[in-house]
Amino acid sequence: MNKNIFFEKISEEIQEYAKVHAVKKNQKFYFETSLVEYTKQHSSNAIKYNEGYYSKIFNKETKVVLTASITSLFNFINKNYPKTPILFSTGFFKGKSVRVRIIKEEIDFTTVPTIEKILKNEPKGYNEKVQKLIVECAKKQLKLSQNDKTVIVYSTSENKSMGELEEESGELITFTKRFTYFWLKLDAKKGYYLDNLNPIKIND
Amino acid sequence: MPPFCDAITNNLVAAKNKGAILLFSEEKKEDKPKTALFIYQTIAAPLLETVFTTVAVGLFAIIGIIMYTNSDGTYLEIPWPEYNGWTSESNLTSHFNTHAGEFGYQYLYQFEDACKKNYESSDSLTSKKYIEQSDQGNVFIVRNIISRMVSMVNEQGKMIACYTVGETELNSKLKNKGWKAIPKLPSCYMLI
Repeated sequence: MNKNIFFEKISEEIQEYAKVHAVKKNQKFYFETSLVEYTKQHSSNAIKYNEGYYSKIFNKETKVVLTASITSLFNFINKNYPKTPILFSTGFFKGKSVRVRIIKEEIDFTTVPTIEKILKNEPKGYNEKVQKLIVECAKKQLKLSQNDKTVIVYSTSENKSMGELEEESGELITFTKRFTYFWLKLDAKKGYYLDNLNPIKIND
Repeated sequence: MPPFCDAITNNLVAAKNKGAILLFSEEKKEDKPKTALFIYQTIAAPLLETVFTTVAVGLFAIIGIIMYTNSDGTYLEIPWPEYNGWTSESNLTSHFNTHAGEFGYQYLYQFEDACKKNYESSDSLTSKKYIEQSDQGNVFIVRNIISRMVSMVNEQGKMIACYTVGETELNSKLKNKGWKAIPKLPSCYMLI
């Protein structure tokens, strides 16, 4: 993609995000870049009712970068995925492409309570209960300490029963500069756990 | 004549100014129409009707938003975001793998397309809108009453989830997750 077009597009994305979330547009943002490739191969992970459903699958590599500079972001993408079309939304695109999106504005971790503090608090209501479980599982599975901090970018219920609660999917960022997607589930043997974890190092 | 919105068809239709028609017919019986009556017929009545209807429908629209988006009674106008793809490919495929069987979709693109269309048809007669206000921001939800498909979009217009929600589950979400129903408003309330 032409540098000027990239600047124009990503500036629009930043402006829109800043407007919606009432944040400054010249600050640092976490950007996710994903290399996506649609092929006609079948997935080895296809589950039973989906067997043979793939006419297209993607192999991808995801990176996260924290920056306020559009030039740095453009150089980062060009260095990692040279001559690859850049898209700003999900959707089908034949061959390889790089998807770019804003995850969140830079987190001020000084205002975030430690894991220890969150786990000590008695949760009030449904959402706090679920969020405490997510933090508890993240601490265990991402090997975080009591003094570490973690921020849930978003989480949403999944309408899959987990006792009196529902499964929950979302994304989180840790103070140790890791970003991951997650899906909170309940297993009869191992209890609550985060599925689909794929911690990605945040390039700062 | 000013058009008005027909809530059933969501179409703009020409308003029938019955009052004015009646007055004009009465006027013909008189040889000398009074100036005040003439002004009322030609300017004041249509103007008053337009202003009244605009204010009434406008208030209805505003009240609808306030009642269901802000519990402390203050005005808060939240625009309904346009669909802008899924948050990520991982999220899309996770939802497809978990929920596509609920709808019987065989292909990823069918699932993605159906979730998008469901969100975009929020003004249809078979759809209902909800909003969830969480610590991480607002979530905009559209549920189709017949298929029970729910499409959930964040403030950036990115789809975060898509699955089926039955009546029992809906009541649970209204209670536990703080989903708030948004009243259906006519899509064409511009009167001027």
